[in-house]
Amino acid sequence: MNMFDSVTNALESCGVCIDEGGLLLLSETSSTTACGLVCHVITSELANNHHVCFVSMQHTWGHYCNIGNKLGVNLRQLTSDGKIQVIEMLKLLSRTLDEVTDSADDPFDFIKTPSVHPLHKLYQLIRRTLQPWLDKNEFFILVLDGISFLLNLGLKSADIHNFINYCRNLTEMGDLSGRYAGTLVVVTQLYEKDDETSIVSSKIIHTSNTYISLDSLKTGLSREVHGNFIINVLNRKLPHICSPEVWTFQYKMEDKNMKLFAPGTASGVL
Amino acid sequence: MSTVILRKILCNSESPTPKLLLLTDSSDVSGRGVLYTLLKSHLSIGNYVQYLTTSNPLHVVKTFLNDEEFPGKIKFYDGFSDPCGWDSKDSCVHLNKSINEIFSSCDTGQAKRIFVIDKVDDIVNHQDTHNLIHDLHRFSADDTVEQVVVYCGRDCVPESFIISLNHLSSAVIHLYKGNPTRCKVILKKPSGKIVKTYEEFTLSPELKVQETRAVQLEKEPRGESTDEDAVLAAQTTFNLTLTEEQRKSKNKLLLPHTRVQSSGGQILYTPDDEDDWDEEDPDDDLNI
Repeated sequence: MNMFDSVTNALESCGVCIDEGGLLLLSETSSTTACGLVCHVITSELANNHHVCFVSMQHTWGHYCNIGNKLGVNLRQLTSDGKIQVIEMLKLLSRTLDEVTDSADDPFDFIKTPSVHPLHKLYQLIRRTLQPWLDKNEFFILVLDGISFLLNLGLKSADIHNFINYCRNLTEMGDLSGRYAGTLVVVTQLYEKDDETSIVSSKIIHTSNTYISLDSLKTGLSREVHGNFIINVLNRKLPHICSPEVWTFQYKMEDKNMKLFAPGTASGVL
Repeated sequence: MSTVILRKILCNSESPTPKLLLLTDSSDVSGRGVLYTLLKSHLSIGNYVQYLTTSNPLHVVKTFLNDEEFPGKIKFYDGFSDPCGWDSKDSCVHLNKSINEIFSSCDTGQAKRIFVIDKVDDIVNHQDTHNLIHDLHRFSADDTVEQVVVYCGRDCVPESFIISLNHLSSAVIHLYKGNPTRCKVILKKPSGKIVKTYEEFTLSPELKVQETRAVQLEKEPRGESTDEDAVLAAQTTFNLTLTEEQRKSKNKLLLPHTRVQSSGGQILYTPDDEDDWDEEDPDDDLNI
């Protein structure tokens, strides 16, 4: 059940292996979206029999299911089979605002009652979801989609960094051999003139193993090329190499595929 | 003669040892290798290292600085696993404490004490930056402290904090992206002299400084290119840039719709019927 073959081949050629654990950062801009890539990561990991916990902060789960349907994957069926655990933040926020939820466990309680650690309850919710897999030492993928959305709720970048560090710690709690318990996938939004989102992304890049950015073209829009797909890999096991390796591709989203190609080799150019 | 001081600082041959050493990097270059190189040098000459880790789990740091290679010479403080106390782990350091409280004193015999903060930008998430600067100043002034190494991501903290750290530090190493990696080194000698160099360096897999050479730079290397022409040129297969002559010709070009004014500007005003227009100067009665 591999969705995008060209993405899989590109990641393999760059030495990126999501199954090895660590932190994978995906960034999108106002004119590009990482939804297709997120669906690809989820389906690839499910194909490898790994568990997936998906925390959706800017879209509903239905949105991803619709994208999955267009790309030929039934995410709703996988959710009802228990292979994917979904935490829908928009629904939880709606319940908080409608005051139909118990504040003791409400991850958005900080909106009504200021807290020194506003994301503590969200972390506890995620930890409870992952605990059965942690106890059985079963590998999982934790996806935090739209982490920059939390800035819109009045949180500071420091709160988000603390929260991501704790989530990262959950994936580091492997067995004694040092094997990772899971992979943390974080999706951020990058806006050139927004300092807060830039700080959030910069901080995460410092601790990520792989950083994939989906950037729009500097020169405008194109029918044949939807944007740049840039892979940055810094091997944390080789600290004497100070600079990450960078591979630049261009991509085009098709009906059921995400095509990657070398810059300047789009079909319209050739 | 170009001066090279990075090797002296990283190999501990600079005398006296800089009391507070600031090492900064950014999202496109990592300073962790330089940090480990410096600490291995300290450990190999018998200094005692107390290491606070906030951005990496202990087992990752111990891969490069392990107790077996330097038995009894290194003490770790775990500020990564539970910095806020959310998981109630007793063995972890809470980062809202002062630097003095974090680094508990221990008997090191005659060995000199080196303190490492990896990374200070994580501590900034938990404390006020002004208090942190005062804390670092007091801590590094202690006579029992040989060196405090502060590792920081330049793009993760407010610029004012970096400026304050720069001011406080006896030596600063700013890393920049490049192949080989480039750095700006500032060394403040006790006599008051400040040595500033730009250097390129490589590290060996055993974390030793392999090659360093001074480079002549008029400006600080920029972390990211803001030159849009260079960005465009890198992304296309046809030429979008202009030569100097083409740029001059383009600036000289007079567009057909532009009215040429030979004698400066002119204001043409036709008063309406309702306007009380006269030639008198309304400010005439002012004694200016």
